[in-house]
Amino acid sequence: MSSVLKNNLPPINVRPLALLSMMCASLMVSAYSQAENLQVHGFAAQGIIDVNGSNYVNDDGALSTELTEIGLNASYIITPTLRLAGQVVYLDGGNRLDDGVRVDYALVDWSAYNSENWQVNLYFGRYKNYHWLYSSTRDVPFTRPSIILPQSVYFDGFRDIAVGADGGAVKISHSSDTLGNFDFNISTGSSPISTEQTQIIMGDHALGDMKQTHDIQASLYWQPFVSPWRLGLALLDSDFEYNAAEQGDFFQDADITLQRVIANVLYEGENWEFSGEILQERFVLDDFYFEGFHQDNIGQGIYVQSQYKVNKDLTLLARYERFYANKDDKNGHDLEDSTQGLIPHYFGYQHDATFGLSYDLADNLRLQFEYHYIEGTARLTPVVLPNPQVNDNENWQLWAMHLMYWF
Amino acid sequence: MRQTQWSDGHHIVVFVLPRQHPLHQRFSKERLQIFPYQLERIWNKLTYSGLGVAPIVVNTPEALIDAIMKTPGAIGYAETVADKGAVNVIRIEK
Repeated sequence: MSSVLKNNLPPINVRPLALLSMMCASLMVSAYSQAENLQVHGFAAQGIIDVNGSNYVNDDGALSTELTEIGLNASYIITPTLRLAGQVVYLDGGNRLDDGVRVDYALVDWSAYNSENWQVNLYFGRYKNYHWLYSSTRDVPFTRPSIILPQSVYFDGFRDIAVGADGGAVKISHSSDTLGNFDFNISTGSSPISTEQTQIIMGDHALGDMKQTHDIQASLYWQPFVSPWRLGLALLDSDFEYNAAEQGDFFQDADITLQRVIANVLYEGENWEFSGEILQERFVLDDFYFEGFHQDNIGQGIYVQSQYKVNKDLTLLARYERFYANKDDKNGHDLEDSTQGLIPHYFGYQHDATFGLSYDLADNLRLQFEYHYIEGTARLTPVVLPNPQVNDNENWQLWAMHLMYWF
Repeated sequence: MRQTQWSDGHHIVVFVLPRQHPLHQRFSKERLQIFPYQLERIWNKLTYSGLGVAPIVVNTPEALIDAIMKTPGAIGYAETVADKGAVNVIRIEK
């Protein structure tokens, strides 16, 4: 039973639980009413990572401290329907990604419609990728299940392109007491691509500029009413243009298309969690090596993972992932044959078994540890011109430890 | 639970206790029917991806009641409430 109590009632000292609200906006305007409009949060994480048998983080294979993530964000409510938000991050991941400071998001959020069961928000500016399980906070360490995310879906080599874009996004949420919660997201825009990011994808021989000319993404999530399960489906269609340098460029002007379909499932129980994503991606290259060159590959990936909360501080993780760069050449032999043996067959796939644990040292302080055993090198960079001289092992391993703080 | 405005158009400001606080754990599981870690995950996504605004965390039940009293449009929870003037109290019993 619930009862609503009006203002100025006599003291009530025995009450199991009570919901309090202060709805009279004209009363008692104080420092709080200004302070709650502005929120500032951030995080800082530093780790060590050791990779044996690949150049995933560095070329010499030494223990590395290139595992740094720092972020600071602010949100300011201008009116009940209009809000500004932005985040700046500093990232250092060694060879994994372009290091340095960047604007992670900077947007205007317009709450266009809001009722008990429906919410419609429009975002303009630089928004995040809100479509996959971990895409919107992939650089925020304490929101991830592991230090290194599954590379089939969250390929570090594509991070800057997949992390968000400049343009507009719409989020429509619906809550029903019978059907559950629905979230629909759609976004369109383009990502700036730095020279370093271009070379991460194409190799050091690429001297030209790459730009994204088109990107549209959509996703739908459904959580049945009071259910521990959530299901999601996401689509992506993106085009790029490569403009070769006038002199000395290994590549020609080229067009690149990337299309993705991702389905995911999440189960959140009190102690056990299960989740997974399955991916199919089409990667089309036109011209590139010579005029008239055409390559159209369909890659496939899947990962499944489980987390077990041993107690309120300790969580264990186990994950298995498989990825094929070309579903019609799963063992990579066609790749090896077509390059006269220059690119070994194991660049055609990458499978990863991961074990990890995370321990909360305090409310906002966490230590994470994990170990990966990896077979194949298809998700190492550069993507277009791989480096088999450095990556001459089919099997490689990594472990990492990460200390993270957030507020 | 996802509503961000009151019916009169004012912004809803949510105050909560720290994630490990027994009252937060109880309110989350018993009243919202969601595990505290799920709430935290939703709120982290709002806060660190720019999607929205997460509740404001205060350290003690007393500070929570005080914050609600001083903030127009605020909402929160408490175990016991003494005379709190203009605060509306919705009593919840099993």
